[in-house]
Amino acid sequence: MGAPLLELIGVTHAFEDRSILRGVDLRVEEGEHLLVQGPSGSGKTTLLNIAGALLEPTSGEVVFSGERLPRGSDLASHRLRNIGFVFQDFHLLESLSARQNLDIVRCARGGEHVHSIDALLRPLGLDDRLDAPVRTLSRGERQRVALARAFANGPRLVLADEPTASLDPSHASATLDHLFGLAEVTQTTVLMASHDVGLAQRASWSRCVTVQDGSLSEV
Amino acid sequence: MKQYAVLWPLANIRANPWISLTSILGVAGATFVVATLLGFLTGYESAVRRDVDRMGYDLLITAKGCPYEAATLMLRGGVGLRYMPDGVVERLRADATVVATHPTLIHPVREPSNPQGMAIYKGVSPGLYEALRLSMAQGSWFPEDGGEARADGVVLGYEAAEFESRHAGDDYLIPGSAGREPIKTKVLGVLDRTGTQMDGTTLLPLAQVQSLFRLEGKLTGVGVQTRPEREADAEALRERYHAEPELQVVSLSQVETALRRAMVGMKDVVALLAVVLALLAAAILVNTSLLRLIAEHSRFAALHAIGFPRTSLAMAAAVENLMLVGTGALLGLSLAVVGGGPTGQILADYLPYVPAGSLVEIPAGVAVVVLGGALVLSLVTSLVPAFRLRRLGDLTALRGS
Repeated sequence: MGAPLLELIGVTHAFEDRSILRGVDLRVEEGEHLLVQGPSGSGKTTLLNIAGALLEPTSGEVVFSGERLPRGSDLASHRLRNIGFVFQDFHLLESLSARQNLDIVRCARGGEHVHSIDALLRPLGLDDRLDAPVRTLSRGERQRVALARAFANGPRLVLADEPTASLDPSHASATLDHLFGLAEVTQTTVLMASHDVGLAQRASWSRCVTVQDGSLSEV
Repeated sequence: MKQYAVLWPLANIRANPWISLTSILGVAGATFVVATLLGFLTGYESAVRRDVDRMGYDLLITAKGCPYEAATLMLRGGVGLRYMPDGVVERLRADATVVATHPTLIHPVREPSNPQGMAIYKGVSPGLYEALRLSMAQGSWFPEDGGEARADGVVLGYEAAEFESRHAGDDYLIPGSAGREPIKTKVLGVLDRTGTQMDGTTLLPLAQVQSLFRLEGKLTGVGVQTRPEREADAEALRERYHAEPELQVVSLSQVETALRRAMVGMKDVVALLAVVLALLAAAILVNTSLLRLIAEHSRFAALHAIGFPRTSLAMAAAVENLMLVGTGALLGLSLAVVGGGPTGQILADYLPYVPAGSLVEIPAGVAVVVLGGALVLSLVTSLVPAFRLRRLGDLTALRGS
């Protein structure tokens, strides 16, 4: 068995005097679709931030594709090459169009090892709105653009933090369909955090794990 | 990413029209005032220099007291004009330092129709036209041949013609004086505005004024042109005539020096104003940049989270600033160029001395200084958002949204 795509080894994280993660070990294999569940404040987002090299753990190690991530350095270039993010509030560039929101990320990567914008956007049903400024799109349309953008830099791992939190069940289901569809097309590993226990019922997950009081357990 | 270095800032400017418009108008207003002030310094200085050049003389020797003031006093019961002692012109003409002399006689006459008003007649030599680089608004100057003694009409200063509603070719009545009957003559021509007392006078050949008002041989002043290569001799000449008790000597280099000193003081005030305005524009821009940064805080954070280097984000903020400042600066500069004339007229109302010609000139040098200043302003105001971006915490910003 080769090296996992992402491995957290004995990761702990404390904020001020509060312990948020306590010795978490997690292996994510290439191509897996992993759901991280847990109630609000359990440490899911912190886990995703550490996995996405946005946050340095207080102790423990983060290994990506066999390489340990260095401490104390800006890992922007690692994120640009390897990680895609789906933010809960989308954080799209409102003045640019859907196509441009993807293209700017694609260009930042230098246009290499990335997927075509049309291939990412076509399955999302935004054909007639691709060139409209994002600020004119509905919430559901923005959600889809945000999903597609997470894949625009050709990442190996997409992290999605509560992407369905503010959606009704039917829209949440459609969003997950889009997420899995894009992951399928691009052969990308997905790590998603959600407090919604109902999501674990979907068959598309390779595995589900639960974070409770800073500790991780397999479901 | 390169194509988005311009595209993204441009889209941001268009997406926030009111904030962008406020910034552009703020910079345009500041640029307009700074360009106008600098253009005023340039224009005013060159207009003053033109006026000094147009004086034509290096020295003006007059009888003690200002002849114009004396003329006014005489009409109000004063002691009257003082005339120059005999032989001064002859002595000057014999001096090797002197190139040319232009004797003049000023004589005031009460207006028959208006006891409070007066007309000032000035007897001049026809050569004065060349010496003072005068120009005609209408008609012609006195003929060189024979005009010395008598002309078939008068030449009016610009304001005198306007006041009396006279044009070239109109009839002109010289009021009677000392038992002489009024003389009906013609207006030969009207001078262009000079910005000097010449504008309010009626000109005639010197000998004719002396004869009309029975002041044969009398002079109130003489303009003296000296040889430029004999500056030391001209200074000695000035000292010599200055020492004569009945004469006063005005050196135009002294006038020029006084005006230049006034300009230096004015430059300091203008420079201070320009700095204050630049600071004001900078405050507006920094405020706008920070407003935008606060509004876009979470998006900048998201882009950095995705992997965009902070330098690219700071560059995008700087390019946006440059676009706003550049547009504002060009707009302000264009307004200053187009509005230079009317602005000069407004400023003229507050000036102690108004030279002829345009008071606000914006040459290429001033335009380059203003645009260069705007560029520096844009770079300086970009430092604040760049500094904020450096300290931007991704997670704080993402959560803050």
